[in-house]
Order: sequence, then structure tokens, then C-alpha cells
Amino acid sequence: MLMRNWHELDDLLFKPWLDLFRYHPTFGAARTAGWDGALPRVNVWTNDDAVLVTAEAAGVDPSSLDLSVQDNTLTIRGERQPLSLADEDTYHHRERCYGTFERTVELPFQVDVERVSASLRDGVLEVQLPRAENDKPRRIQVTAG
Amino acid sequence: MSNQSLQPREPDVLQRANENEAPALPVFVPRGDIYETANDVVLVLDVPGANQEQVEVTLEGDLLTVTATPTVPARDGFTLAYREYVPGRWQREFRVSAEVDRERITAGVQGGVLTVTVPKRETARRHKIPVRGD
Repeated sequence: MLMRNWHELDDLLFKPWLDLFRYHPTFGAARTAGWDGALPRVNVWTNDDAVLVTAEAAGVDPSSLDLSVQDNTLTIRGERQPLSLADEDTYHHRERCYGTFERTVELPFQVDVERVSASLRDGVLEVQLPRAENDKPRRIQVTAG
Repeated sequence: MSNQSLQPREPDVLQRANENEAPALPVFVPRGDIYETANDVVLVLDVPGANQEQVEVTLEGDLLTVTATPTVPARDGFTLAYREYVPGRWQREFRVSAEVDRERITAGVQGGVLTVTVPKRETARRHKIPVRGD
């Protein structure tokens, strides 16, 4: 196991993250902004034992969400459906975007995939990723010879 | 009803919030859609984090004000490592025309999306005129 200094990990966290955001203009050809290249917006919280990733996902159906963890990367995929208007209804103003999205978040350590949990409440996604036991720092006892 | 019946007015919101509020949460303008049906004008606003109790919709004169104040979640024991958004208040004002039925405006929040339904007055509704053939 690699012994790593927590402060080094902090530096890793602040470096520009590899973030493969993509907007698929499957829907909403009329919109040019899409998800604006930065949505859904993500915050990342950490401590020694876990990572907490939160994302703004208003109007996203939980059943459309697909979360996966591979190595040190969390991928969040989902879709927001456009409003269902009747034929005779007309838009006066449109700013909200919809369609599918994908975001990846680089995690600072190995996580226990079996214990990852996620919830979507009032349009905010929260993903809890506990650190893998075998990745936690261990104190090495030094014995006098 | 014309396209001018509901118009977003952003800058005022921010100024007013700065003048009247204590050092409070930052105020953000939520993204919104406006569409019109036969009987209503509907506002749809993204207010992630806010539930029904945290949303306030008021109509003063012709100014419809929508405010959503989500609770800032406690992240005890965690350190913020990366940030793209900050907690804040959502607020936006719309000017409504005289053609709306002021008494029957309704609002609801679901999954962080606020929907405000502004009914049109009877006179402003779309009436279909039957065309008779021979």
C-alpha cells in the first residue's frame, strides 16, 4: 500500500479536476446553452474517512440517475426531461436546460464501493463514499531492537 | 396576452436584497421558463435545495416576487475540498399584467423545481371560435 501524506491529497484535490462534462443535445435543439457546460454544479467535502459529493439536480428524476465508481472516479449520469407542454401551449421565455448529463469526480482515495450511498432530496443529490478500510492510513509501531 | 405580460427583472432584486437584509446569504437569480396555456401563464424556476415551506411567493402591485431560502446543510466533520456552488437564496421578480387573476395564483415545489401558475382573467383567455362549414 502506498503511504501518502494527507496534505498531498489536499493539493491533489485543488488541482484542476479532470471533469468530463458533456451535454448531449438529444432534446432542446432550440436551446443553445444546454447545461451551460457547468451543470449540474458539484461540491466535494472530505475528511479522513469519507468523501461527500453534492450536486444541484433540480427536476432530475431519481430513476434517471446512474452513479458508478471505478478506481478513484465517481461518475454521475442522469437526465432531466423537458416540460411536457400541450400542442397549443407556447413558451415566452426559456432558460432552463434539459437533456442528459454526465459528470466525473476524481476521489482523493479508494472508497468502499459496497458502502456508497446516495439520496436525492429537493433537487440536491448527495453521495456518501466511505473510504476503503485498506486505504486508511495506519500507524506503524516502531519497536526497539 | 402579450409576450410582455411577464417579464423578468433581475437587477432590482439584487440591489434590494443588499440594502434591506442583514449580512445574509448571497442572493441568486434562479433560471426560469415561462409558458402560456389556454388559461394560465406558468413560471417554472429551478430552486435546488428548497422545499415547500422555504418558498415564498408574493404579489405587490404588479410585482410578483418569488423567494426560496433553502436550509444550509451542516457538514460537520467535513472540509470543503472543491466548490462550484455556494449556499444562498433564490429570488426573482416578475411584472405581471392587469390581465391576470390576482386571487387565484398558486405555487408548488417538487424536486427543487418551483412552479407558479398565474391564471389569466376570463377576458384574456384564448377562446376557440368554431368555424361552420356548409
